Amino acid sequence: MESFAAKYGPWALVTGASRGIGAEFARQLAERGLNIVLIATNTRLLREQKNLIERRYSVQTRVISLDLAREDILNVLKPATKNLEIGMLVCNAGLSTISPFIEQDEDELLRQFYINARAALVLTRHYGKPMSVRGRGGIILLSSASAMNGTGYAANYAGTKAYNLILAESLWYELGERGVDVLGFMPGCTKTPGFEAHNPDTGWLVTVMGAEETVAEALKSLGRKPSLIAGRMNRLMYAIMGRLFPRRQAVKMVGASMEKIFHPAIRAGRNQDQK
Amino acid sequence: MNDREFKKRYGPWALVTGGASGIGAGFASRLARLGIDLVLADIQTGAVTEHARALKERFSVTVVPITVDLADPDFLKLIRAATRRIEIGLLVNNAGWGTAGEFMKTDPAEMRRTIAVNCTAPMALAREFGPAMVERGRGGIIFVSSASALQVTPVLANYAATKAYSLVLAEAMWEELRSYGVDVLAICPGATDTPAFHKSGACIENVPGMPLMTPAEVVDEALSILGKRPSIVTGLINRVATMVISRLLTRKMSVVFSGKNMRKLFPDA
Repeated sequence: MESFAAKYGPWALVTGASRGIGAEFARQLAERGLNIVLIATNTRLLREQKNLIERRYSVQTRVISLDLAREDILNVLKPATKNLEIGMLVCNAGLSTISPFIEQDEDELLRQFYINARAALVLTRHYGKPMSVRGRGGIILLSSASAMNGTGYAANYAGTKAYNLILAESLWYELGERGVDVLGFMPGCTKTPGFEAHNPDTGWLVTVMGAEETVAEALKSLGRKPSLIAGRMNRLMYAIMGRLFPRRQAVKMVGASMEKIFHPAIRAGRNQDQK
Repeated sequence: MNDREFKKRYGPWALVTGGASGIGAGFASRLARLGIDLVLADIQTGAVTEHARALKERFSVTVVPITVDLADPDFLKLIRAATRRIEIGLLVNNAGWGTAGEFMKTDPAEMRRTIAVNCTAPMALAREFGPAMVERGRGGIIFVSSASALQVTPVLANYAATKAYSLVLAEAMWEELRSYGVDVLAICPGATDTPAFHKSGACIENVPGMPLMTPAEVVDEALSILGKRPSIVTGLINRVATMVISRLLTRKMSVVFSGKNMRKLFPDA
């Protein structure tokens, strides 16, 4: 079997790489011998991640500080990555909000769509094209278990994640024929700064996974499956809900569970955090 | 619900985007027959003006046609200007855009247009008109999604993804707004006999058993289910097919199955 770096290298581009799941993707890809382009908004955290990776692994890194909500992200990224062969793209950056839809600010809703969905579309089209010409590469679009059906108090967020899921699965089929592996990856509750910022009250029924095991599952499934929910318990829960319950029932159950887990955030009104 | 109750609950005005043709025109006709006054927004000036005139004559309701490109970042200003003094009780987010073709061969500008028309515009309209409905304690918002949102659609990757967005957004809004008396619904039509479908290059005869519904059938089902469920795949055969694909097959099997069907449906894409 050809090595991970030969198939998906030499460079990986990871968005939202300054912390949480994105930082862990960057670390595990470096561990597998890939050079990393780290993209995020927080320059200080980006530099820390860069130093951490370069200290531990003998790979090259580059950091690009960029707000992915911008219309013209390619104008920044094209020159910055011009001479790099990007064999792996991880569209991880996401704005996660817990709030009733009609109380969310309209500009924030648009921003959320641009970061979570439009940027994923634009990057996939731009960096996926040369991969399909080379006949090798990997693309991971971060979705969420909330994408399986409507998720109250995360209406727009879950919508963007459903967008990423269906885009990834469709491209798994289209690009798989050309040797490019695509995965729509759906973490459940993951112990990250973004998740913690919502002050979750998870109780005993909800599995909270570490970023390390979550990302390891994604990299293991790349090329094998069009999409994956992280964690065996999450997979079981969503299989029961998605396959046995009518969608109305599933939507109600998810809504009730969101109220339970995030009641402090929902009560506090607006609560946002960029991963 | 009889006509008068419907009008009381979802009237006096409805805003229908893409109201000049296809499913949108079907919604407009049906709502006009129920006595609801209409704002029809469409990119085709001639067609929307003509449909508005025809409905006014036939059903003696007020119909205001406006020309709007939902991909224009300022489209909401035009909608606001046209709806300033009226009470929109029903929003039908019907306008859609999309082209069939291999993802890597599709023009990126075209894909941006698709996400603007299919995702951000309906979301912004729901955000614009939703709060007033909540305040009144009544109203309805319908998102026209697509059966492709539930079954992975190569050759229409971006289009199907935009429809998954509106499906999931609508379902979440159903959950959030139902206690306020505002009914939100996503409808997921399969192949429908509309100008857009025929222009798409689809060869329905290549997929044996795939039904082609009329816009009127889709609209009647949508209005009969509004308030009862968060989402519906229109048409019994489409419902059964979607159920098999999304509930019985593994995700991988369903992707392969739908993928083959889509290649047959769009042989030239």
